Amino acid sequence: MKNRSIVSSDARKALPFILPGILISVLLIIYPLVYVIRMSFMKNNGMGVSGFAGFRNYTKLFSNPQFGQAISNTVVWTLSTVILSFLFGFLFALIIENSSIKYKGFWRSLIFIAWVIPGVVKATTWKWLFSTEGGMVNSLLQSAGLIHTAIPWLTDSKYAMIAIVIVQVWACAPYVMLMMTAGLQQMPKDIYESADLDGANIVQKTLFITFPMLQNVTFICVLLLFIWAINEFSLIWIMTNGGPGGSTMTLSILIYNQFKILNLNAASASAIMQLIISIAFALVYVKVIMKEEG
Amino acid sequence: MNKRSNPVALVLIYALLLIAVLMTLLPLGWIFSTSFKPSTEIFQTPPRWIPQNPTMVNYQQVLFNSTIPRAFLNSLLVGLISALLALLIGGAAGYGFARFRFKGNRTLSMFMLISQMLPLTVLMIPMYYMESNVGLLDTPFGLAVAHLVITLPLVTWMAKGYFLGIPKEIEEAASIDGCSTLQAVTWVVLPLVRPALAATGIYAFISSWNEFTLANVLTQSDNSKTVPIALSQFSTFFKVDWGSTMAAAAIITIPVIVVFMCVQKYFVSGLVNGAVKG
Repeated sequence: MKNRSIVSSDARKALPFILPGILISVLLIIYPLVYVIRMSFMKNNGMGVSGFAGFRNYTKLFSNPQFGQAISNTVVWTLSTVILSFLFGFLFALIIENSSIKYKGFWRSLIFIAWVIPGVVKATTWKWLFSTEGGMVNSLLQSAGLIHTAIPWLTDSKYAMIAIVIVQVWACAPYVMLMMTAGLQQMPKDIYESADLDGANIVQKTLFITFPMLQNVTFICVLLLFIWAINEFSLIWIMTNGGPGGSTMTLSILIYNQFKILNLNAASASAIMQLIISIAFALVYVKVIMKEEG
Repeated sequence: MNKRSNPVALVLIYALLLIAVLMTLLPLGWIFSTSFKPSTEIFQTPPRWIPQNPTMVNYQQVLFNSTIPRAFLNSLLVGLISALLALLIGGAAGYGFARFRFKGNRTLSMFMLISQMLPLTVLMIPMYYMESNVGLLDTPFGLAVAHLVITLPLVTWMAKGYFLGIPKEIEEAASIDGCSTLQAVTWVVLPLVRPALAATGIYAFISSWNEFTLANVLTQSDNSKTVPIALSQFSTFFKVDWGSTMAAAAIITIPVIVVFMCVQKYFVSGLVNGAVKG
């Protein structure tokens, strides 16, 4: 522990370094958030504020069936993408790290490329892959004999959600793989050796050593996946526009739609809902990270 | 762990890996395959991977007859401004957080971390009005400033990690030799973290290059439209010209992949450090 006099002189020394960053953050993050919170309590006719609305924007939003649909879509989208991305990512981290295959780094980089591709390119390419006219996905499924007629992946409300979930999992699993690999590499190797001496098999080692020791990385990874899924906009917007029939309209899409038609009462109230949800997850995330950091 | 797996398991593992790699690379391959196809081959069933009559016509279309080249320049400009500002401001802040103990240090670091996770669909609404009020709407500089929302917390957080890795004693030795704080930072600390900071700057650049949500709202004309927006507009027409859309996708993706390959070492460890070690 340093003594008190150093603490205060340190604050003075730190100020010139951190002040510009703080000012910019206030201007670009705090002020906009205050702005949109204030907006959600105002009556707005699209041309400007026309009075105080209290909680009316919110009550109106909650009674709007579109909002309920957006929430349930967001839950389905988030849970399925988080769970599947994690399972696939972790599976490949385990396979690559804990097997005797050669060129581990090479395999990892190849898989990781999917993460690096710009989001809009991912979405556009998959839109083309899922197309009913000349799309590769249908063609592959047909030649494998799994389906007879082309599935209208993005234009049928039965399939649209499945299609966008596939793309998000494809995009996020490589990141999970990377994170979990880092977690696996940080584990002390001698634990496995002593488990070997005690006669543990690979299933036992995975269940009773690997999993418990990876708790923190797992938690961080899953939280990040949650936040990304809740906040995702471009992938869904480009692939389906939230359609067909609102079947892929998540909260992000709903906010954008309301904003686009200048229904600012609804847009700002929906935005605050999304803000609350993602900040709740972000706070848990930060708590875990800070605990790790000590 | 036991490194001598039996051969059957090993074959199975290679098979699984091959599937995973194919899953990752096939969409990428499909981009290039489509981009070299003449329009007569694009909707051919069953689709072929190798074009029968490969053509450059799609690339010509994109390079000489579309908004992509202009958008490419806009994206470069926006990304450079945003990354440089973030490096300058965020690098300094990261140093401040790493080196000095003061009240609020922890809270401020937490704030930086949380702000990386704010939904852009929330921020886009106030930002639209703010930028329109100060005349920054639909300008590359306006978008670059808006992208600081993403790049600044990112650079600050990563820089903090790098500076924490430099022992304080090095600076103390420099100040005994008569260096001021600023001199010690400039001549002793910065050279040590330069590669890592450069990688962070590249990461910030790529984040800006890829960003869609804010750009979609804050840019309207060709003067400020970035590549993600230009590309998305390719595929919104009723009858999509997939040949040139994929050529445009290739043109946008190649720089990112090349850059990623070059800085992979820092990129990957930075990503992991950002979350695993904090």
